[in-house]
Amino acid sequence: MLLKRWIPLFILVFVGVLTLIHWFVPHDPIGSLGRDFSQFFDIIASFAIILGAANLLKLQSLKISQRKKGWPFNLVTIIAFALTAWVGLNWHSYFGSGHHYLAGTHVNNPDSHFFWVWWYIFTPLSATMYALLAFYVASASYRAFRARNVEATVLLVAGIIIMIGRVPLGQQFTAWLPDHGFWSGFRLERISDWIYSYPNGAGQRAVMIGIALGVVSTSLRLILGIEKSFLGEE
Amino acid sequence: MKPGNARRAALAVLFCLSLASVIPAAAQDLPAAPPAPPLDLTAEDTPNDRGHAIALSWVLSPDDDGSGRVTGYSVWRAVYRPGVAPADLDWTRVGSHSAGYLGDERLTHSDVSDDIVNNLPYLYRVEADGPGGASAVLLPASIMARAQWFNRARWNMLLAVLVLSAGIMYWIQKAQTSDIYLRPVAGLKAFDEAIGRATEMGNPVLFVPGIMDMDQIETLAGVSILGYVGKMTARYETPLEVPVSRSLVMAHAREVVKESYLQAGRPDLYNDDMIHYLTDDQFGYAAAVDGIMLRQKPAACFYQGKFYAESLILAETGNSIGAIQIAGTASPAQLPFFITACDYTLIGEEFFAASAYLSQEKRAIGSIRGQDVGKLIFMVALILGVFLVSLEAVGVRLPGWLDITALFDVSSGG
Amino acid sequence: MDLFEKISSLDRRWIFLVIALSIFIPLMLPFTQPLSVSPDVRAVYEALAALPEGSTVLCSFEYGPSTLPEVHPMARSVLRYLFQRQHKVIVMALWPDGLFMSRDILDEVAEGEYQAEYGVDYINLGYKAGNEVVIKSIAESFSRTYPVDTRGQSTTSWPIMHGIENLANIDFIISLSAGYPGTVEWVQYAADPYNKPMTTCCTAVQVTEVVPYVRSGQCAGILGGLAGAAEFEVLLMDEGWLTELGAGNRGMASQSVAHLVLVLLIILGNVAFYIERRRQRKF
Repeated sequence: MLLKRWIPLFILVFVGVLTLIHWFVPHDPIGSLGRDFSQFFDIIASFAIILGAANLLKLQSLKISQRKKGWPFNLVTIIAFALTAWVGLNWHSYFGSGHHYLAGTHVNNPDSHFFWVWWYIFTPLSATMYALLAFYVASASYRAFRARNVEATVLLVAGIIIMIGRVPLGQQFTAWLPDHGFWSGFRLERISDWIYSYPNGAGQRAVMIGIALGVVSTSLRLILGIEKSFLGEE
Repeated sequence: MKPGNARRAALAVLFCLSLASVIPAAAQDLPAAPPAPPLDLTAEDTPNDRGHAIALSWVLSPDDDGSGRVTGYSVWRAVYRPGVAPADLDWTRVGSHSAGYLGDERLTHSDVSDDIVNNLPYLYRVEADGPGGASAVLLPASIMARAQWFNRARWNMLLAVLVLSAGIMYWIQKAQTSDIYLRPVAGLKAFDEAIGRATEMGNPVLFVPGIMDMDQIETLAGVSILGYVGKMTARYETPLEVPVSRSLVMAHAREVVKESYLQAGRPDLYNDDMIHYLTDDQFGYAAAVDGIMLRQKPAACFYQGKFYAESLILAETGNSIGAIQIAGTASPAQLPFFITACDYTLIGEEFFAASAYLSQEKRAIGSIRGQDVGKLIFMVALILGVFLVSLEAVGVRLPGWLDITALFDVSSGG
Repeated sequence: MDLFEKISSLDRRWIFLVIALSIFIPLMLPFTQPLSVSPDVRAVYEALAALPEGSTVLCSFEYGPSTLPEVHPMARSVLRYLFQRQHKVIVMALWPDGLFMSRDILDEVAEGEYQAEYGVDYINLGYKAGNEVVIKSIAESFSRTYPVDTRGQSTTSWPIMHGIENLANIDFIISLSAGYPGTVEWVQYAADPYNKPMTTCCTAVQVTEVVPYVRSGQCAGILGGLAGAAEFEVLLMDEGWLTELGAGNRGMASQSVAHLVLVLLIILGNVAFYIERRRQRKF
């Protein structure tokens, strides 16, 4: 009880209150403690990667040893993990000879194996995943963008105007309207800018204020010890 | 002029002369003479800080006209010692600025360094450097850096925090003696339905607590919701799958889910591998979770936490396998994606209220009412602010205490 | 199942195919269309143009390989402009991936195109873990936050860092951002508390999130996504800072066609949905 409830709660309340106060009190030691706490977190989180890596390797090895369906892919994961860790941790791992990099700076050098892995394997893989968004945006929009009611129709029209107004080919539809004066406000790119700036800006602000209030309320619940569900309690 | 200031001014002139006297021999061989010194050097303690900082400002050298006679400015600092001539002080170069600032504007320099000891007097000099040499202006009086106990630029924020906190705490107290109505939130009501469906189908429940670490309040809120979902899956004996992208989230989520299974009376169903780490990398994680979805075909997918561009990748894959999907996030840019692809979405504050809503704990519900009152205060303040600013815009003169633009100047550091 | 029902519940793989073709074909057969420059892009240019030559500009790289095609063209144009105006460029990264992004773009622009001298015209401080804490930390001291640069040498040993003690000595901040930490953190922890002018080059998805900060004046304009890059290239060309359009405009043909095809698909889906609904009402 002491270890799992009271000590975590004490740390939470102490750090939470001090972090709040440090925003208003710049004088040391309070001023610098707020920043130090954030750095403590980074240090703990960095070391915690060992936990995650160990868990990943354990589960993958288990699947291989039990010959579960698709186990060769688990093997690929372990080999990729080991190779990347090796070229990252070993600063003598480079193409060619005569290189002597300082530990750490080798990751940023094009001759190092780590740089090669990063640039020629990791980069295209990441870009591919992100590029999937283009397809998923299309399928999600096709399925969900339906004029079911008035609100949905407004959303649909605004979405279409922005999609067309943001690209040069779309801007040609209203390119015949004058550049200045009253009618210029009806050019698609202008309407699109207006939607971004005003209805969207207003909506975003409202959502952001609501979220900020939610954060304050949740933080207070945590600091006051009312919210204990993150400790696994009711 | 006070006698002390007169003495300092005289010292300054002497110092400038002494500095200039080291140059003449070289000047004879150079095509150009030293530029005119900068003017009117002033210094002040930087307000609202922890000390160790001095803000300097000076008027540019009259020769800084783009002719090349001034190439830049150097800032020098020395500890002030009474009775010691400035030239004999131990000067350190602490900054430089490039020339090229035409006109009569002032140049500013902020000298921030732990080398500056609080409450110790310092002198500064600023040199205009050029091909013909350097000429300096000396600070007429010493200056001390001081630490402040309160950041006055943030008084408005302190006021907002106090009012909000007082409101929320009042309602937390009040909730213990009275019933508070919470409007039904469709997304939260659907939790039971989604887990029930997974149970009927015999397929697992997938829970994604976002991709950020425990220092994000969204992750904490997500893990709190996971505690509730864990209790339900324990009760219904439905498999739970929680892939995470941060090691600390894994460690923490395990404790929460283990406790949930214990409270539900089914600790036998819990095992640590239900919550497992994949990778810290955003898209590596998205790819791995997509793989889990396609292989295990979960009947219910929960996305509760902080998300970025992977949101749609996850939600569309979940949609393609026909899972009931309930998302919750405070990331404004991802909300449209979740709303489009998921069955239910907890938007911003609903997401933060979820844990209180699901637990039905009176004090937690009270805090939500307090939050709503805070929102009301914000709305009134916004409308009032817009009204007053509009009045100013059309030329109505308002009394000073109503001057909204001065009170809430964004540049004041609030 | 009749035609309208089929259209209404079209297999998403057909949509994927159509989108893939609408991106691929214009990439292979590019065309250009006149592009109008939005006020927010113009605001970015004006903010940069107002800086006197030789100013010190801090560029923070907060994106990775996934968003490279979107943010890299903006980074390229902005750095070209900065080097042409002979500004001093201090580069740092809040994302580990940002280190590689900055390295790639500096190799190409600073060393390849402008033969800028490392340590004098620009410096790459590299990545530092800590997210917004790094911003708070450079507000106090660069040398304490980054004792060494990406070359492993003492940061203070380079001429460009002389007189650059902290954020106060920076004239302008540019956040090249694709998420957290990024533009929002720069506004909250640097631009607003220290009254520093800044701007952002961010992904298109982020634009809606950043717009409130642009409207409040805390962020000078916004370059958003590939369209932002294309508009900025057009503007730089009009103002005589570029001789040819870059990757932003090359991508616009694909983006144009893909947007229009998507709009057509949405309209088609709605027509089918409308007809189906009318039929259901009749029965």
